[in-house]
Amino acid sequence: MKYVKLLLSLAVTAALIFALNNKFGQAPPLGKFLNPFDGFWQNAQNKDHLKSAPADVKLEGLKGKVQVIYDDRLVPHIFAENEEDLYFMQGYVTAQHRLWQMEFQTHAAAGRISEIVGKAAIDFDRGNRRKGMMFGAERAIAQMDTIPLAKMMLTNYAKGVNTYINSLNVKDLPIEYKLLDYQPEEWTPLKTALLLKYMANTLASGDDAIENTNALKLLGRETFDLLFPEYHPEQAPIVPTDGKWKFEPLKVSTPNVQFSDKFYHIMPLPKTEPGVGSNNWVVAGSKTASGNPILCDDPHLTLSLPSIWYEMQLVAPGVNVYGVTLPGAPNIIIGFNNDIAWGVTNAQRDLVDLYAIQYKDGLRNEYLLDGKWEKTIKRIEAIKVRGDKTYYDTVVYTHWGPVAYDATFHQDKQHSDLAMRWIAHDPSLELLTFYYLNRARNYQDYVHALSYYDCPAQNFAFAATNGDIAMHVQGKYPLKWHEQGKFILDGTTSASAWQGYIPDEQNVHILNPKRGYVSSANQHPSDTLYPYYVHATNFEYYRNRRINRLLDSMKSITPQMMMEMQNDNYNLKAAESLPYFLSQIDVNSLNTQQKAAYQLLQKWDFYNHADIEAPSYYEAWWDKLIPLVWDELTSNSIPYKRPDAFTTIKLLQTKPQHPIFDNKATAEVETAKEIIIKAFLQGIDSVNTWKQQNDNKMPLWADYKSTSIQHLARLAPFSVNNVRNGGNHNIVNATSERHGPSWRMVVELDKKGVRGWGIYPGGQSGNPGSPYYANMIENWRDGKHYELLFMQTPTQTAKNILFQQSFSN
Amino acid sequence: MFLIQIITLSVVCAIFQVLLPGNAVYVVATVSLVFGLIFGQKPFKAFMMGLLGIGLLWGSYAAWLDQMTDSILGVKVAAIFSLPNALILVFVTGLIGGLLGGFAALSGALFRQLVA
Repeated sequence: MKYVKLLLSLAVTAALIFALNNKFGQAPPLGKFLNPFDGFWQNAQNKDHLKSAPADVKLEGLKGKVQVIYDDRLVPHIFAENEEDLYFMQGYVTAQHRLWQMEFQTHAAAGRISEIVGKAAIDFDRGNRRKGMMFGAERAIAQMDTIPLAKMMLTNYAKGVNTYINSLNVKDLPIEYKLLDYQPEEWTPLKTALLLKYMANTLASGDDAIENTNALKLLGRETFDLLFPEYHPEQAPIVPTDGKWKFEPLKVSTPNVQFSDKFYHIMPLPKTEPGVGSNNWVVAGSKTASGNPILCDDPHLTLSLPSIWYEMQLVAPGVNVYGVTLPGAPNIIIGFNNDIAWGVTNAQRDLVDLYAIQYKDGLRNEYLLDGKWEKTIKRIEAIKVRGDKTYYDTVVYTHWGPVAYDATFHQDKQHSDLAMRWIAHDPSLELLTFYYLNRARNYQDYVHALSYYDCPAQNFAFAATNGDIAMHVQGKYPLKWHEQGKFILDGTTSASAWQGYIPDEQNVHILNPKRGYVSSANQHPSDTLYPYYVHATNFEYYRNRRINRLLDSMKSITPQMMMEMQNDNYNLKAAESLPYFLSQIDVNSLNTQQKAAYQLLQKWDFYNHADIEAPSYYEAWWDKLIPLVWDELTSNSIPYKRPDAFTTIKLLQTKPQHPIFDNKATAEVETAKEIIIKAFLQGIDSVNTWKQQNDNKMPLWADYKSTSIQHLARLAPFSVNNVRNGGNHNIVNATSERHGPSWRMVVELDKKGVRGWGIYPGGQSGNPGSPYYANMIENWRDGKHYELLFMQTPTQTAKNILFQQSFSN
Repeated sequence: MFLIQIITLSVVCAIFQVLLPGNAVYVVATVSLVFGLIFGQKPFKAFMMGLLGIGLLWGSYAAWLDQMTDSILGVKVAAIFSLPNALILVFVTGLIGGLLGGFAALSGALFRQLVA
């Protein structure tokens, strides 16, 4: 009996040890996770934790002394005696606050999320590997390794990150590692390259060749061109053509190749989302109250926590720069120094082309090119899967690039082998752009810095204290004949290839325009007189025109006015569509509630403010209208894309009788009018449904829209939900449900001292247990900016300095 | 006497957890088992010593950390486990530590009975 008792007790103890040390399903190992000595409770911090950081720290690998001064938002101001130490400390400090994010994002880029979360992520991982993200990163690093300057930044940054990783106590491991039960690995320069590919994927992976090929097949050329025009004359491009471009364009010959003429039943890979975009503009001294140029930038990205940006000041001999960094990459990405400021928006351009491949046989060892069989290279992707066996995926590489889509991936009915040519596969040196921009003193320096910049293509706004303002639509842009890459290309002939690249000096750009400002908001780079073919999956038509109208009308501009403008909620799309929509409705046919909504909209001033109801009714109407109008382009097995908002509104107004407005699902023949009325009634229904689900609350726009800032691993309690803000897509304040201004910056280029204001929706710490995790969200929501502490010396006093640390070997 | 045993277990366990980070579960199990063995209490008493010694150690330390930080993280992690507040998570923390400590101490005591 005694034996039995003992054995039972030991068995229970052993079972507890096992259960508490291991992960079950989604649950972390409870003993490791909950024990207060090194489990998650240790990740909780208060403001005193930070202030008690040691004043002097020894770090092996530093050459000299580095001082890091933290201001009251936990922005580090790093003062180093040499550049090696500067990048070492950038890596160290960033890892201190954002280690888990840095690693998670690069794991995502490398297609390694299944390693952490299990088989649910296999498709995601396969997609990123089939896109050749790692292939691109490896080629980028091979190139960067040949440039001593790039190598210096990468290796010192990595050293700093690794020094931090190696100094980590179990208890200080970021909570996500504890929750998901894994360990950080060594940081390498390749991971920095992967992060840049991650950004390229976020910003420059837009492609609509599959959708366009299907739409052309379905609609025929005439309707296709009507629905998907390359350009509307109402557009306000980034650089309007004043007469002719003063350069001799390179010749692009149009080969006699046929576009693919069949339906593709392929589920396209995730790509740049429509909510991803940005605004930037610069006003020249002639338009400002002080006579100094003012630069403004707000990149719109998926709103996430930890935030995509980490704010920082970097100072060393030859450089003093302030701005935001991407955790995982050296240098300031958007910012200013004592002489210049720069900010970016995404340059819309089709930089992904798909080529239909013809294999010799099922072995996929050879493919047809110009009548000959060329050898393929196979890359076996071993995707480690947590709690399961490794998943092997063979990706075939042709000279075009990886065959992203084939019989094993994202297809059902038929199968097509499509190789992907993506600019992000090419070796490139963007790091040098940021190195030189951080140190640039004038327009020439800026142009030199941009000469290293390939991908993701960006509209670089520029301003200098000497009064210069500029905009360069910079990237590596393939020379394309008309419509090359808009549809799936024939991969059996080299005539389908890109014929070279647009020379940098022929990229769209402008210096000191007469109108006294430059601006960009993801619209067309230039008008149709620009001598090169420009295509993209989507172009903005509203934010840009609103920005230009405001800037045209403004005089004696102050930084405060610019900050307010970044929060402008005017819905130009509504202003251009709602009066027409309302005119289609017969008020007498409406019931009381519908009439009330109608009147609300009639009185609306088109501002998507947070605390009014009208925008909810308009947006609900719009959301119902689009699927009704474009019912032809909805299919479960064949992907299509819908025409953009501007084209849709224009067609509704100018061709209301067009057969495309007839809803095929109904017996009667509809025109634009019937569709608009139907959408109005359905829109009111969706607002009513929302009310029922929300305790009959008033459908105020902020609540109806409900912006959420989600944790990167989608952990709901680490997310911040219902951030009450106005705006929406196509509005200068581009805050939609999941996307929005990820960093708002305003910089006045005053010769007596450059001043900056900025804010982002998050906090400097990536730790959900830190008071600095989401501390800036409220002010961001309220449209406020912080005045940025741009220090000139480490001994400078300022009332908002929190604490400082000094590091040496 | 019993109270002193509980406190001693708590303190020794705390020291070893600090010295051997990352091994909380093994430390608690081993220290509790050894204490059960050394003290040679009746089985129920040994179990209670482990339950209270470790349970109070884990629970009160967690509660203190949570209190010091205004429950900034406790409340979020509680939500991950679908618990309404951090206090319940503190209780769960104490409970699992306590159960482990209790059964390990019980095993120690039973082993001693067997040998004796």
